[in-house]
Amino acid sequence: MIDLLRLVIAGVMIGSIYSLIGLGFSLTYSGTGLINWAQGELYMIGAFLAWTLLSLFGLPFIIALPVALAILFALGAGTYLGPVRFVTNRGGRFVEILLLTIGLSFLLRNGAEVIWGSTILTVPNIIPGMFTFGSAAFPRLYVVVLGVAVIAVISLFLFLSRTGFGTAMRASADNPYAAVIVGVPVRKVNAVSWGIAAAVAGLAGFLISPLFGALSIMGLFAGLKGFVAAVVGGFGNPRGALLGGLLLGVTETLVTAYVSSQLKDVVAMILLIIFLVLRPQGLLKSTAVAA
Amino acid sequence: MISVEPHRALRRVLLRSTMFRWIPALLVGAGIFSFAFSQPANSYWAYIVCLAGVYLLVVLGFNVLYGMSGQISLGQAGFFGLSAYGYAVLTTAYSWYPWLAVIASVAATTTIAFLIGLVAVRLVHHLLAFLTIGFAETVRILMLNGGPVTGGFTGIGAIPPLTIGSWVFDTYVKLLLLTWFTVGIVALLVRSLRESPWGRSFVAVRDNETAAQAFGVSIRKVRARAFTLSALFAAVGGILFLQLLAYISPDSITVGLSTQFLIMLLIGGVATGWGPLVGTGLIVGLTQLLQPFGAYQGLVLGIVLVATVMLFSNGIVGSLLALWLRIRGGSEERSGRGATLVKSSTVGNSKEGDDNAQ
Repeated sequence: MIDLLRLVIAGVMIGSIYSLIGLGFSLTYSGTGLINWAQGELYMIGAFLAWTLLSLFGLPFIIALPVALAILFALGAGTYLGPVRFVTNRGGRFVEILLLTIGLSFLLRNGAEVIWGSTILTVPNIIPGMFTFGSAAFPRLYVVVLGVAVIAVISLFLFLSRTGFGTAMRASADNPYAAVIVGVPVRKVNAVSWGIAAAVAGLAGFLISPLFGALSIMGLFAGLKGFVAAVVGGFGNPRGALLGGLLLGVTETLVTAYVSSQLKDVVAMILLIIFLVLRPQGLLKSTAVAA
Repeated sequence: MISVEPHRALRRVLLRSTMFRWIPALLVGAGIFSFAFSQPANSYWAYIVCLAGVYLLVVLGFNVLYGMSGQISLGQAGFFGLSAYGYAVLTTAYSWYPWLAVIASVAATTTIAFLIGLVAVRLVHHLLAFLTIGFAETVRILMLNGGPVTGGFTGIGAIPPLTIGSWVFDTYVKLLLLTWFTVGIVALLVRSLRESPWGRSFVAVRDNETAAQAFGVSIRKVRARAFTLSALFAAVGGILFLQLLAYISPDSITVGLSTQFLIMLLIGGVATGWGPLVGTGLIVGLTQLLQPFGAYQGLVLGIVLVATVMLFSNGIVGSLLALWLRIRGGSEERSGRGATLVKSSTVGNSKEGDDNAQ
């Protein structure tokens, strides 16, 4: 029983990482109808920023985190304002942006290898110590990561549904032309949604770096799994991404423990295929359903 | 148009004659053939040219899927790897007769592709891209964890070579000839497909699903056929790849390989006849040049992909053809050939409505 509890908690922790990455996918999708395939690479950049700011520059956590988030936000917004808008202005649609961001993910991954090297970098644990729950003990970092994921999802949900900016975002996603006519600064709104998506994915990498370290290829699988989280939960739905990520994390951990550790990575893919074939709209209502 | 200049008339005659159209293909064939005979049996360059032929097979198939029918796939490496592994397992663990193993693994791969195509009709094209990624990754991970049958991380080696009578395909030059012979056949097939009812229904669905349906084209059938054909070519490529390396491991069938096929097609020119050849040649050559530079290789591939999408989305061949049509100008531009080429450059834009659909 204790084992099961510990496994579920570990699954929830890793699941919240997937949730944060998936949240990024959902956000750009619900905001602009596009996908940033480099989401996993932004997660990786987040981990490297943690190493650079905390280990290399020795900044305190309180300063390093906002700095990293600002850099990631700029990266995401810049991607939208630069190459993505360039392509959409020339008539590029979803597929072109997908291909473009696949190219960007190559650039980021290999660029990171050039800058930071191809060996794993260890990041100091910002929240050391263990947390005991009954007789089960687990790193305190788990709780922090989960807490941050939940807070991020709730605040994003409130941001999207309760603020003027969120309304503008949904308006420009729904009908960009009409939004422009009623005075919504569509370009700015879209850039912000890409920026937030990048920051959220990077946040996941930043937080988890003390446990996993920073490695240039860490974004590959993380990106795919974040994507699975978004699809399973309901693509384009922030709450869905949280739910999907947690489900994926727990399933993966339980399969690893009780079935076979070799099947760990295949769980996500099988979940993805099952959902795409049987329920493409995901668990919660998706904003983008099958044809 | 009475005062047609003589050289223009001549050029038009040349362009329209069937013979002229075959000249480039014959030149490529002759080039490959003479290259093969100028090389020692196991030269490195014979290996590279053979590898390019293997990739070209997959890219030709991908062009049918993406270029003709407008369906994106990021899982071509899955089909490629599945058939390669199928052959490897059947011939080593079960000691099947090689050609029987070829038929079995290609048939299994195309059947799975057919099923994916059937599901594809229900999915918006980007969800399809992820379904195919999911499929390819599942194949890779299952092979990685297949225990002694698939050899796990180290893969399967000592693959028995294909034979025809007493002719054993055991050197790079022999495989090069076999591969490019297959490429020739597949290229001919794809070319005739383009003019066939199947090919036309592919293009019709790509350009306007609703209109195609109104004319009685079954979208379900089109998607399943396109997937099956592209997987068929990828599966054949996988078998030849295995022959060339005599070895297969999960590392050879990553998402990176699928992406590479995509880059090859894009840079060459989607929905063009010669795009796959140009793109594959260019990327294989570039990869060779950048081999010593490690991470910079991926960096350059990334830059190539980004630059292609941003600056010339028609690819090299597509851009050249557009340029050629502009130079020729005049009434010729409305000839059937020109019209399809101009149209083809809009591939992927056809489903505009879906992207923002709520």
